[in-house]
Amino acid sequence: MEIVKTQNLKKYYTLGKNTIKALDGVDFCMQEREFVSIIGKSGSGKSTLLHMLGGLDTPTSGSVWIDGIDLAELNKEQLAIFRRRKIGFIFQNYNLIPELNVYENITLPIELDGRHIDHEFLNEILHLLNLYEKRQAPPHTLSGGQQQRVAIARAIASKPAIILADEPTGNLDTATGHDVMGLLKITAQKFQQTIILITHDHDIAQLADRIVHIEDGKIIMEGDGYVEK
Amino acid sequence: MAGLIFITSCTSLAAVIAIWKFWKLRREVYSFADKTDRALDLILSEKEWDIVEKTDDTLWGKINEKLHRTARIQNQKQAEILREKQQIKELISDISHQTKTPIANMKIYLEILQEETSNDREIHFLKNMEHQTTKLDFLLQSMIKMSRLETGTIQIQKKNQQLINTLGRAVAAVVAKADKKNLRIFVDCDPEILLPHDSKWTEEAVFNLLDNAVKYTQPDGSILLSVTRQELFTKISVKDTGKGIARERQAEIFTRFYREPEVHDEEGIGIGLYLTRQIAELQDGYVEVRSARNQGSEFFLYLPNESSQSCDN
Amino acid sequence: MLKNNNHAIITHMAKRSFTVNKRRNGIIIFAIALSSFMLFTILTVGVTWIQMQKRQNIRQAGGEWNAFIYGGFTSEQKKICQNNSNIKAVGSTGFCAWAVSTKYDSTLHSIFVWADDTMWNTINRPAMNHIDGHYPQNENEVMTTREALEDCGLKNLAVGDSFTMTYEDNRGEHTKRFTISGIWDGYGDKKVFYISKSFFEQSGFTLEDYGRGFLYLKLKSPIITKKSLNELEQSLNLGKKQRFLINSDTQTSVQILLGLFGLVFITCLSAYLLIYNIMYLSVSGNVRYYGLLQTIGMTGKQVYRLIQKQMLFVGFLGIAAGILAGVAAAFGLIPTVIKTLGIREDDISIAFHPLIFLLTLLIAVVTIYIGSKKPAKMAMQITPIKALGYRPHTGRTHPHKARNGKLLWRMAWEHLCRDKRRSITVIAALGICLSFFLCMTTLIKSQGPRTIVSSTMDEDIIINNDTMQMTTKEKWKPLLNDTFLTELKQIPNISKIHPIVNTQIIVPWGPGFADYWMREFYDMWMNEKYTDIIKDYKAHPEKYPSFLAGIDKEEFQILNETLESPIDETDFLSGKSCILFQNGLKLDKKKTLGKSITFYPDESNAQACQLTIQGITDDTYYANLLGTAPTLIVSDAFVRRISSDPYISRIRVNYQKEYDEVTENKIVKLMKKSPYSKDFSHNSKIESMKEVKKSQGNMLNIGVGITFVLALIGMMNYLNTSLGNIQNRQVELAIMESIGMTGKQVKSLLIRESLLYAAASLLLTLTFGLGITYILYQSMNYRNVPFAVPILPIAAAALAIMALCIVIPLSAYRAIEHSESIVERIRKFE
Repeated sequence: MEIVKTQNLKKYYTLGKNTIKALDGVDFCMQEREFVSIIGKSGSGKSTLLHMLGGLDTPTSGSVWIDGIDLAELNKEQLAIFRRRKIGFIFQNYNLIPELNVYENITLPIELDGRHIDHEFLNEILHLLNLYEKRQAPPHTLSGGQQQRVAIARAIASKPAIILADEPTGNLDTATGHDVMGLLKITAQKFQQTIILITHDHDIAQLADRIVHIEDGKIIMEGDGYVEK
Repeated sequence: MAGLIFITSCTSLAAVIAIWKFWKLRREVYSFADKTDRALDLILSEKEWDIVEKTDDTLWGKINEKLHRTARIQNQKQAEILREKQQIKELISDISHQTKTPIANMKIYLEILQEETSNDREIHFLKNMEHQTTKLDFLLQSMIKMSRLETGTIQIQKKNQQLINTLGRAVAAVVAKADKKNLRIFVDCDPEILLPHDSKWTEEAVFNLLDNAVKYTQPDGSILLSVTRQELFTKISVKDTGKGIARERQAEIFTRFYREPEVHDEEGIGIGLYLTRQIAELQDGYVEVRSARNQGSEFFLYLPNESSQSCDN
Repeated sequence: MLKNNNHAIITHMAKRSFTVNKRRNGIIIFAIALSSFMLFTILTVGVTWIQMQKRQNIRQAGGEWNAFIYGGFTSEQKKICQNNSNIKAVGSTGFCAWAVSTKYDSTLHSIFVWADDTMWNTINRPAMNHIDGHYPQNENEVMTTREALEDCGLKNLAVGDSFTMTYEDNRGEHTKRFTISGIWDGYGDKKVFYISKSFFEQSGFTLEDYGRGFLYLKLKSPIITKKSLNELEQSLNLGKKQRFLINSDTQTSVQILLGLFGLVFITCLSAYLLIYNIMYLSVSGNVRYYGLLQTIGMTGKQVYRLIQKQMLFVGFLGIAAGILAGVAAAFGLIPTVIKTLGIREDDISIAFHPLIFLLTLLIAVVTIYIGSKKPAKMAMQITPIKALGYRPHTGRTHPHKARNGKLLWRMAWEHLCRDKRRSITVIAALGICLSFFLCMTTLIKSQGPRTIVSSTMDEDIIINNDTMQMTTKEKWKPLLNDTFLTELKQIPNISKIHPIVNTQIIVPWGPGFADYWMREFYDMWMNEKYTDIIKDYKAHPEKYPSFLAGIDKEEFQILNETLESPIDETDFLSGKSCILFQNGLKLDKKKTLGKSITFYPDESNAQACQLTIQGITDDTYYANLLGTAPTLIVSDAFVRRISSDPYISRIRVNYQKEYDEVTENKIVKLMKKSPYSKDFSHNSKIESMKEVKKSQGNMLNIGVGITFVLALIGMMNYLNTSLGNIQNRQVELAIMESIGMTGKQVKSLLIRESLLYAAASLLLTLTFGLGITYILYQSMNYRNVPFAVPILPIAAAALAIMALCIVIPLSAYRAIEHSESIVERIRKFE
């Protein structure tokens, strides 16, 4: 089943007199439980694509379907609710809520939705991500890798339809970055999550089932159509 | 005046009762939603049904009954699947058991035939037949392993033990083959490293990586097996000086029956890396490849430093 | 559909953020606590004052009423009052007899009064502490007090006892046996026997009789416009002798209440500005945080609710702290304040009305709600995508070619303009506190000159001969004789001495003015009717004496200026004309001016004199001695000429220097030296000044207290802004340093910004604040004292504000500068 689908997705920004085509006709599809890397240089439009998929921004034209929902039909409030139910975000700078401890950070999206908290499930995630001992700690006492793991736990905890990871290793050193990505991969597999990973790092991108290259707002190659320069 | 007071007090009493009613109703709806939410969580995570509810004439009682039935059906289906898996496991073990003797016999007969005949042409065919038989044997063994891994019929038994022993066994299994191609194998591993892992299957996984490396490395090349301890994972790396893998195929090499297009002549059925990946994942680890064409390739097997309790089920 | 019940997490997060953002919340709590403390105190002062004022009124007036009709009333008038929608209760009393003697005592002072049901139960009751027995039903019953019984030598009697008393009513003296039906204790006229209606009806008096019937009115609300009071008075169609009298305290209470409301408003405004500014800064500093929450799936509404909940926690803590502090302070502070506002009672019971708590809570909550609404809306509207890419805007970059000084000024100005809203709130907060200070000091300082009302002469001391208040001429003593005058003149530094020379005169009846005056006078002031005494007057005019008041030339000139039409000076000085003191009558000018009046001094061998009345005055200064017949102001030479034994009743003295205490002491000593020292009295400007100063001192203290609280709120606002501002600008400042701006230059940039803030708030004070002060000043300027601002305290306050403005950002910058390197600071927001 197609869980993510975009059709001729376009996003133009106007900056003074110039029009910047951040996305210029992207058609993109994803199956459930797939792990896709979107790779491209900075400014290639990959972050814009992620924002579109996450309902953080509205496209200039074209449409986005996530889990059968057309995002164009949602208003601002509905988008927020859509995000907390369908999307898990992992950001480069972790973006944890400073005043909540690790466990509370993880349960936040669930509680925002007023849902029942499956503590057993959460403990499983905490164990898997090696965070169980740190669950009462405030985020700022954790290392970067640990914080990113909390972010992963938060993304997974609400059992979203897709997890969007935007340069999750950007602030981490290579070894920690690898560890964290390994955990992301393992947990995603374990809980059968669909993941879209945005990165400019080929080594990280390798972890995915499929790699999509994006350049100047267009998908230039998918999977094995790659031509080495 | 008295009438007014009476009416006012009646109205306010009615309002208080209405508010109280509404408040109570709302609480009940919330509690209903909460219970349903929890029940659905239980069903979704296929856990044991532990909601005890009296049979009473309430909405929740009604819904609860249905949810319970759904859960039971789910669990029954789950049990059925398990049973089927068990049957397949038995079937596989039957097959392996049943095919072992015929293949062994075939091999004996082939050897006898080879000794007894001197016709070049016959010898050639017999040699081919032996080769094919070996391949069949290997294939059968691999498939058994594969199906066992996939169906979860294999119990991974993690024990905190020295990794070097496991690696040693794996290396020992490829040494002969490497010698044939005059390949050198270097091992860089701190003997002190203790890692919770299933020795038998990890050996299999590492063996597959080494075997793969031996296969795709030209004679006189070298293979480096190294172990690095990271924050969360222990990285077992197998680096060869082979011809490397194109980037676009790197994501696919760990899939079942994938074989590099250029190496179809080599022995193998494209199952080793897939097995390795399965073994890694069963131990909460993962695999990774880094390679570029003509620059050799490096395979990584990551195993977690600490076993998460949840997986020890 | 039923809403999703996801409130718990919002509450939880609000609680958490409460413990995490200690500094921000601390400031807000402190501000709210201060404001609610102020509100609470102001409201408590207000309510206590109102209650005390009411109690004081009730006690002084012996009942709870706002106005009364004096001089008898008709039943129609009573009906009109009862039908008036502004009036709550109408009670009447009838004074009908006076006690003459009992067997124990024959000099009695007690009177007999009948109070109707409304009067007794509604109007008098609040002034009574306790009542034994019941109001008289039968003719021979009395309700009385211990004091009245004592006055009659019957102090050992109790309720139920009887006594015999002789009393006099309109029908003559009677002796009767009374039974005490009740005894009350409380405030008001104590030497009264309340009697039954039937007793009153038998007395021969009616309620319509002058000085017998009194109608008391209790208004629904003491705050009533003058207009509706006038309308009421008009509707009553009062007779000539009737007077409609309003309790004057009703008027001042409106003024004081308005002042308190003004204070409440200013407090709320400062608190609002602070809360708004802090929340605004906090939201704009946390754009990323709120955006992140929305990314995770918090809806805008939830963000809004989160902020509101945070404010709820903070608000209630602050309000609780404020009210507690208010309650604690109330015991010490409020009695002083209340006394300053003019309550003389000793036992001031502080009113802790539940309404005060509720009102404080309500006003504070509304202020907090309004203050945090806008920032919360702002947070709600942050889009997640904006938050992801958010950097606190660092403004435009400027070419660094321009000269150093000018560039820095321009940068400072740009900074002020960059976030106008924030700058305006800070400036407004500082400006309000400065303006308030300006207003307070100006009004307090000018209190003396504005309010001491004296005559046009502006004398420093008035010396009176009190013996001349005696009705019999024989008791007069020559206190202010020539010896005294000579000694007085010898005291140095006295510039002017103006004695008033009096002599008693007799005005015989005549068909002209004398008759007209007496008729008007009796109509206005006397119980008896003129027709009843006219015979007696004609026969014995010496029973109806009056006075001449002789003034010197200089005083005449001053008095002449105040007259409607000035009169001829030579005529006056030569003793041909006189000025009539009107004595509150409304004389017809046609029947007065130009008429001649004949009189002769009350002496043996006196010759009759005749003078023309040329002017009329209402100035009571000249008519300190009054008689039944007209009092005339003439030249002193004339008095001395016609009288062999004139008396000086009053001297007014001016010093060369105003408020010359040395001179005054000498005069006081002179009076003490005199053998009649006890009979002197004097009104001194210095003494009244001292009294004003005393109350002024209290007011100044209170004013300074209020200013201090307002200043504290204003400074907190500024402190918070500059701290937040410097934190937000860390990157910008660090970037500037990285491209070569020295720390000194950064500091001078900050100083320039501070100076701009201070200057702007001073400007606000000098325009807006000064304007309001001027309006307030003029509205209370009864004596046309020129408007003047006390420069020194204002300048000091301005300097203090400026200094604080500069010190705060500098020390904030220093703290940041020392803690981290430039790179660290730049990185912080990456």
